[in-house]
Amino acid sequence: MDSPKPKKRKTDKRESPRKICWLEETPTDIMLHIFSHVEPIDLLNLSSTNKNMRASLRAPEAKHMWVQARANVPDLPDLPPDMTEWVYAALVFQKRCQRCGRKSDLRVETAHIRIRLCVLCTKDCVICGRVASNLLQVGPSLLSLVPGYAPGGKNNVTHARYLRRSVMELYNERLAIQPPAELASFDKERHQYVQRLDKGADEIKQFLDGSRRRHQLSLQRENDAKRHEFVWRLRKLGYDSIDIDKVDIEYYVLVNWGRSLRFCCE
Amino acid sequence: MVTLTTSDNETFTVDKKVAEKSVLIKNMLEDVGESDQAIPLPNVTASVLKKVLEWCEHHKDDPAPPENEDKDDTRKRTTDISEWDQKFIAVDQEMLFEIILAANYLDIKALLDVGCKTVANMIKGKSPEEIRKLFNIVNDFTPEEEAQIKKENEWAEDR
Repeated sequence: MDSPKPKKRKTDKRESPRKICWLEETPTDIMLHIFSHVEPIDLLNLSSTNKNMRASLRAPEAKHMWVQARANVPDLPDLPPDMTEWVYAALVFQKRCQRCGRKSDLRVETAHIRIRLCVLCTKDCVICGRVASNLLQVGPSLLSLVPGYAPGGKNNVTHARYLRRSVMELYNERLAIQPPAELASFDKERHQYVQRLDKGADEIKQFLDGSRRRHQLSLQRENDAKRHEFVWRLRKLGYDSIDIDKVDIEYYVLVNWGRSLRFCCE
Repeated sequence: MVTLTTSDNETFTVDKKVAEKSVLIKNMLEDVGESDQAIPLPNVTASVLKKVLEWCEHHKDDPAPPENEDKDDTRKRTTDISEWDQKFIAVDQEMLFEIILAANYLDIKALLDVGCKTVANMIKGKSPEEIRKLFNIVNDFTPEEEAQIKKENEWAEDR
């Protein structure tokens, strides 16, 4: 028998939904409405889709979209004064090293040195307080003029962490100022500015730690539910608690997998 | 009862209450007054209007949205779509697109909101490549530019 398959496929194709080129076809106000519901990381990802999108999301007129996107994330601290919206989004939400682009997790000093770095780049770019104060050639007193991570206070040079570039920047800036009075006022202003940055960094760190905790908690809840479901299914199949107790559920269900169970037909 | 005519010349007769979920139609009815004439909707096709009216029918008894929204609402507004609406809006991209355009044209704010939230939820958590696929965006970056983008969101370069 001659099957009319090719013909049929053709009609299928015609009936299949038209491909929508959303960016070109959607009126701007609707696109803005859609974007008002996403988060900063989504705007950042959108801006990497093509040149047009990138240019429009980085234009000054796009500011309100970023502000709205930040408002969509509960408890996210305000934009720090030394960062652009996309740099801040990358620091907080993008799990990539901001220097080399490799995958990179949070590190304890991330918020305070103001850049997310991978292990290798950390080795290259992050220095301890002792090295930093040697670079500045004046001693640890000037470290309060550099944003950095100092869990034991900035005088505890061993545990403090700084970005080498920030330290060198300060060194060069101070070098360019000759009159002592001017230098003193520069130091004073700079001190206040860095205090503000460090305080902001505390908040960002708190936010990041909190969201990591929340993520772990929800993962745990999900796993508990999976474990529960597994036992319930075993019972339904007729196994009793003596059997079930002998089963290493963790092993069999792989409950620590990061995804939920598939529901099969009964 | 109100009669509506679509762009492809189909007529729908619906309850006034249902039709008035659309602010456009509501204003028209107020302007025209009692009349048996059909209201033409030249920007909406029958298949889309059918879907939109299904939504209006289900939501006809919803209280009208408050005029000036609270700023605190923004957070709550972000992702929550009711279960019925989620099922309603689970359609192919073309229909979703048409529903959004129709809701915008007919001025049905709550439906427009559902549509836009659905698209936003489709974007959320996706990588640039996935977003391109979703929206049919052509990648016009060269490989070098793309490599640069991956690491360019660096703190100092933008200063």
